[in-house]
Order: sequence, then C-alpha cells, then structure tokens
Amino acid sequence: MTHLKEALHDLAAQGPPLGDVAERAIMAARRRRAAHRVTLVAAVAAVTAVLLQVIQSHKTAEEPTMGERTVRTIAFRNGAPEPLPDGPTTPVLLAYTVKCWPIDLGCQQWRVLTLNGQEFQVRDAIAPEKDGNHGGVLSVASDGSRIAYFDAKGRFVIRDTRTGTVSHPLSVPLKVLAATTPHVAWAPDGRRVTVDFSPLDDDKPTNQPAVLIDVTTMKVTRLPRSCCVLGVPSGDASIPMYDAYEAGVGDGLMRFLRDDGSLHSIVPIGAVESETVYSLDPQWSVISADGLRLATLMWPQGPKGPRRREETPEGTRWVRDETPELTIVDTRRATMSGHYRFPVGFQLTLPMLAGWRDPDTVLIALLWDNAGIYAIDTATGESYQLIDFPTRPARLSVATALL
Amino acid sequence: MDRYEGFREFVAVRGPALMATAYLLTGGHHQAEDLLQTVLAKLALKWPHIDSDGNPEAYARTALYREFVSWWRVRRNRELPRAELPEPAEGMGDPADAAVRRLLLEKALGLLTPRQRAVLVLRFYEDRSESDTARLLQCSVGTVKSQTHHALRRIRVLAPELADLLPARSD
Repeated sequence: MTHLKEALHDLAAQGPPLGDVAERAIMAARRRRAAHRVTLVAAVAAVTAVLLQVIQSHKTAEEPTMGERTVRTIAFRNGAPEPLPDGPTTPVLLAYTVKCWPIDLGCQQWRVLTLNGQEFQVRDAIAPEKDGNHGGVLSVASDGSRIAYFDAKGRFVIRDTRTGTVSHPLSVPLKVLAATTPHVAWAPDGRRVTVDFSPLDDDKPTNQPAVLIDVTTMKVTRLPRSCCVLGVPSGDASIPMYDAYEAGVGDGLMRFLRDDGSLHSIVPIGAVESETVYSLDPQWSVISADGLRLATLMWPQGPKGPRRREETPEGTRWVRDETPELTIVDTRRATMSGHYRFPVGFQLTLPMLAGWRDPDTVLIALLWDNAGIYAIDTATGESYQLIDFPTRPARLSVATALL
Repeated sequence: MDRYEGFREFVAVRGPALMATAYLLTGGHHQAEDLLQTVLAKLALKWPHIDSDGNPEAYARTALYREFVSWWRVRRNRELPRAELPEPAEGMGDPADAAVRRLLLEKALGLLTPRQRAVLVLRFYEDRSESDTARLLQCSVGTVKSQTHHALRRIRVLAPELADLLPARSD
C-alpha cells in the first residue's frame, strides 16, 4: 500500500500548475449568479402573470397597497367545490380550510387552489377539528407539485399533482391522529418530507416516532423523537428537531440529526439568558433550504409577556401591545441575529411561519386580524404584504416558491 | 465587503493539492483544470456560507469527487476506456524506474472506470477509510470494497509490471 501511495503522489506531482483558476472560478460564479437572477426575474414575471389571472378569475376586490408593492387579494369561493380529479392538475398554489356553520356542509374539508385558478375539495383528506380528528393536516410542497395528508384510514397520502399519482408510504393508528396534530414539512427541493406527531398543547409527546420519507423512493426512515421537526433542508442536509420535553421546558435546545442517526444539540447564544422567550415550535420556526439558518418567531417579552383586555363589538378579548419578532438562528455557530419587526399588528397568538420563499425571504401567514401572507426580506430588512384574504382561512398551507 | 473575501487566499493555499487530486482523477491536464474550475466556481457561488462553516477544503474535496463521478455519468457514453494498455514504447526502460512506473500507472488508471479511479485515489492517495470513501462517493461501504477489489485486479491484469506497487491480494 505504501508503494502505491508513493507512486500516486509521484504521479499527482505531474499535474498542471494552478494558474489563474481562482479568478476563472470567480468569473464563472458571477456569470452563474447573473444568469440565476435573470431566470428568477423571468420566473417571478411568469408566476406573477399566472397569479394575476388567478386573482382576476376570483373577481377580486380592491387591491390596497403597502409601500410600492401591490397586494393581491384571493377571495375563497362560497360553497363546496368539485372533488380533486384523479388525473393531473396544474400545481397547487395553496391549500386551506374555512370556518363555517353548520359544519355538515363539508366546508371544513381541505380545499386546494391551483395556479390556474381552479378550486377543488380534497375529499379523502381528514377534515381538521371534525369529529375530534385533530390529525386533519394537509401540506403543499414548495413548488406545488405535490400535496400530502392523512386519509380516513390513517394512511399518509402523497399525491403528485402533475400526474395524479397517489402513494401511501406510511400508515398510523387513527387513535394517534385523534391525539396529536401531525406536522408535515417538505424540503424546498421536494425530495424529502417529514411527518412528526406534535403533542396537543401541553400533553406529553406520543410514542409515535417522527418519520422522514424519501419521495423519490418512498422509503420511510424513523427519526429519533416524535416531535418536532423544524423544517427539512434541501438535499441531504441534517434535519433540525426540537424536543422541549426531554431537554426541560423552555431551554431552547435544538437537536440536529446527523446522517448516521446521532443527534447533536445546540443552545443558541442569546437564548440562555431569555429562556422563557425561546420557544421553538414547527409552526413558528422553519429551517432555510441550505439548513444553515433557522427563522423563528418570538415575543420580545416572552410568551407570558404583558397583555390587556380589549372590548370589541364581538365581546372581550385579550391583546398584546408588542408585535413578535422574526429572529434568524445560525445553526452552525449557534448565534442569533437579524431581529425583524413584523409590518402589521395582531393579537394574542403568534402568526404562522409559511416557510422560506427564497434564500432571503421568509413568508408569514396571518389567519386572524389582517389575514394574509406577508414577506420579510432578511437581506434588506424590508417587510411587505403579498396576499390579502378577505375571508379568513382556518388552516392554510402554501407553495412558497410560487408566491 | 467582497463576497469572495478569503476565496483567492484559500485557492492559493489549497489549490495545488486540489489540482493534484483533480489530475489523478482525470489523468489529463486540461480535464483536471476543467474539473477544478467547475468545483471552485460552485465553491465561490456559496463562499460566504462555506467559509463561515470553517472547512471549505472538505467541501471542495467532496465536490471534486462527486463532480468527477457525475461527469462520468454524463460522458460515459462518449468516452469509453480503452480495452488494453498500449504497447510500451521501445526503450521505455526498467519498470523500476520512477518515470516509467509513473507512465504505466497513469495509463493503467486511465483504463479504470471513474468510480474505480476515485476509490483508489481516496483510499490510497488520501488514506481515507472505507466508510469515509463511501460517504464521499455516496455509495455503500460494500461498493467501495468491491470497486477497490476490481480496480486492483484490473491493474494487476493489465499492468503486471506494477504488481509490486499494489497491496497484497485480499481475495
């Protein structure tokens, strides 16, 4: 072996000189970045054109603006739409449920809105909060090419909207779905999806392990905890999980799953001194596509910060005067940076983190006051509204790359 | 701030070693330059993140091997390895001579598949373990073992003059 090693070193020494390869590489990188920007602009223009068609087809109301940007309105239709066809459809822009009464109209069933403005009901998906089914989750992949949900038999369904193909890589007992709110997270490249079984409120975690599904092979891998996956990076990067129950409530430990199945934990710097404000949850924390940045929402004064009673025509409610902040955690250095204030006020509960639209932009969905989808650009600090919902959705999942 | 701050310094320090590996993998000057430039352009594209990670060389090496194998997947229909070693030129001299041995080894490596070549470079040039090699090439340890075995056997058959360089037979 030593001889071969020496001979290989001898041969390697005959390689070409380095020359100006660094400069050529930088020039190539610059060209690629420029090309990427052009492609992105073209893609945004194309999506915008399609989106405008969607909006027009929904007979939109007036379009208020925030700063220089146009806020688009998506008004959900009344009544139950047609069931999702078995064959292919255009990509799904978003999935939603609405609040209604009486509930036997099927209005609580999941619906999808496609890029070309069609709406369909996903009839085989478990409806949220109906008949005690908390497991009524439906999640749209970031490019709208797939949706995932649980059906009435407890099967996890992955449906490819481009082909209409349906896969059932996983099945869980219905009692699990009655006791938990599964959280489904797609990798931005759509190659992997996770399902974890987040406990309801302060319940203890279930014994149902979270799973990682390779969408190309439908191979299912068990993750070491039942909860909580904080998003799935693209490629094969590690998956961040959070488990407040094992670590002690509020310690803010993040665990990153290595490829060999082991876990390593970090406490983000800055979280220790404010243990009570640091609360990770899949709804409020989501990892970037490269796995390097975790966007997390938190109240500046902690989850038990000051609140006050407010009298409204609908009755009394508790509100907070402060607005949450979006904070970025560097998952390698365990540092917290980039505190971003939210553009509009809202009450009592944190909004939903819809995901990263691109390497810089985080999307946030408000489902109550000022219902809509908002963007925060972490590169510039700019925040703006993208979508306005005149009718509040009760549940929502969006194809972040299509917005 | 320059987006590529530190990149040129990194290439100046570690570039020669990366170029040597690229040359071992490709067996040609132009191909080695092409391969390294492709990998370094990818590195430059993500430099701020990779630099902050603290180990750009590991990233570069991983990318180098994966890019090389990926090139092979694209080009294998166009660039088939020759079936036999060319006849040694007359008067080539004693195989124990370093220059002759180098030439024979270079030609023998050129007859291996890119994956076999990558496995040999990782295992015997970089002294990587089987599991490390498997991780870098995104294959199983079993594949690394079998590729190593096939590569060494092929060299023994095609260039018996190099037998004394090779590790003892494992079969």
